[in-house]
Amino acid sequence: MSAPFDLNDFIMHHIGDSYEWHIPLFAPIHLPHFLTVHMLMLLIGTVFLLVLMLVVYRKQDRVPTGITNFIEFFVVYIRDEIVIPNMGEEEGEKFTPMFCSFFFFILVLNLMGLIPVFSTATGNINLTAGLAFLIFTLMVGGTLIRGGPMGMWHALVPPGIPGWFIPIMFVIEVFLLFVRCVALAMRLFANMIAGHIVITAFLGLCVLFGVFAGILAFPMAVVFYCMEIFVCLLQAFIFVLLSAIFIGHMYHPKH
Amino acid sequence: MTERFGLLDPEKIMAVLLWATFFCVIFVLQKFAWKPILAGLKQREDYIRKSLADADKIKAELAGIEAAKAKIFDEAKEKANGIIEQSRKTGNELARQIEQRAKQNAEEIITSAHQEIEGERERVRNALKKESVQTAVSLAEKILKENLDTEKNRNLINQAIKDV
Repeated sequence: MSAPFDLNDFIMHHIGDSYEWHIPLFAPIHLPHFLTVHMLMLLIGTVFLLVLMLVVYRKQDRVPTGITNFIEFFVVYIRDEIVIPNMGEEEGEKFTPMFCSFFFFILVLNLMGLIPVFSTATGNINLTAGLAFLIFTLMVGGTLIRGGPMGMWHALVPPGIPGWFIPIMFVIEVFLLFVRCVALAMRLFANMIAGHIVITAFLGLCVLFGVFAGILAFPMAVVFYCMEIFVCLLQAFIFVLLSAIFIGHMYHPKH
Repeated sequence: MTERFGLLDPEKIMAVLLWATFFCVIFVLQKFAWKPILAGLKQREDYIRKSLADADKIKAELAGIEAAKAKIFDEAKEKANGIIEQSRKTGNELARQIEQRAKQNAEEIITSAHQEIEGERERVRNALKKESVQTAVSLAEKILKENLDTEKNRNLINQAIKDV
């Protein structure tokens, strides 16, 4: 006799990481012990991104069309609306490629989770924390390289505040520095995982309560699936926007 | 049973793999994608900017040419009107002169004709006088040569008058 359907297990099976890659209609593929499904998705996403940018994108097109137009739209938007307004003209030009890499990297990993064969690598806290740590390194390391310890001091403690308030301000700013990066990691992780939980929950309802529940639950799952496409795009955009704002604040403290 | 990670379980290899792949992505895309894409975009933006500036310049030049054309057209029109007016004046003057000359000629012809008529009349009158005198003389000679009666004299005179 088969075990009763467990919705919680069904959801966790879809969003959690494991050493088994489930492909519909095929037997699960057992991955080696140094490679989990999310790691595999990370590698596949990376290869896909490199192929997209190096092979599919047509640089020689004088009038861009199709995928070239799509990619250029985001590149121009990231450069003109996110990076340059937050980091200035000169530094913005230098940092644009890195932020474009962040954006497309996160976007590809986010969208891969919506394809049934693949899984959401950005629904793994280790990956989002790793990305946030890179932003933290850029914030702190970049500020130290640009202005030395005094530059870091000015970035954390704005000039002109009363002397007695400096220690409190310093503690708050250092705390905020970490909180911002943790928030970056948590936001991306939570949003990606939440969408998938909702979709799998609705699909699980179809299995749990049968056809009559499915009549209502399945269209809802489709609606959330469509919304999730937008969320994938939005979360990649928000990660890059907030990163640019945080790094810009550290490099050019205005307070 | 498959080993499954909890949502917040740490996976060190994941972080290391992420950094390795992400730095690989940054390096490769920086060299082969973003640099050419951004350069291409800048080139296209410059080209569009230059094309728009050229279009504005050409538009301004065209407006200048249009203004110059309109000015030349106005000047030509003005000049043509002047020439027409001048021609009309010259024509009127010429017509007036021709008319005056014609009148003068006609008057001269009339005067000349009058003079000729007068001269002819004078000449005829003189000839008539001369003829009358000769007739009178010949008549007197006849009267004197022939001694005629009064009735005869009267007939003779009448005959002489009729002959004249």
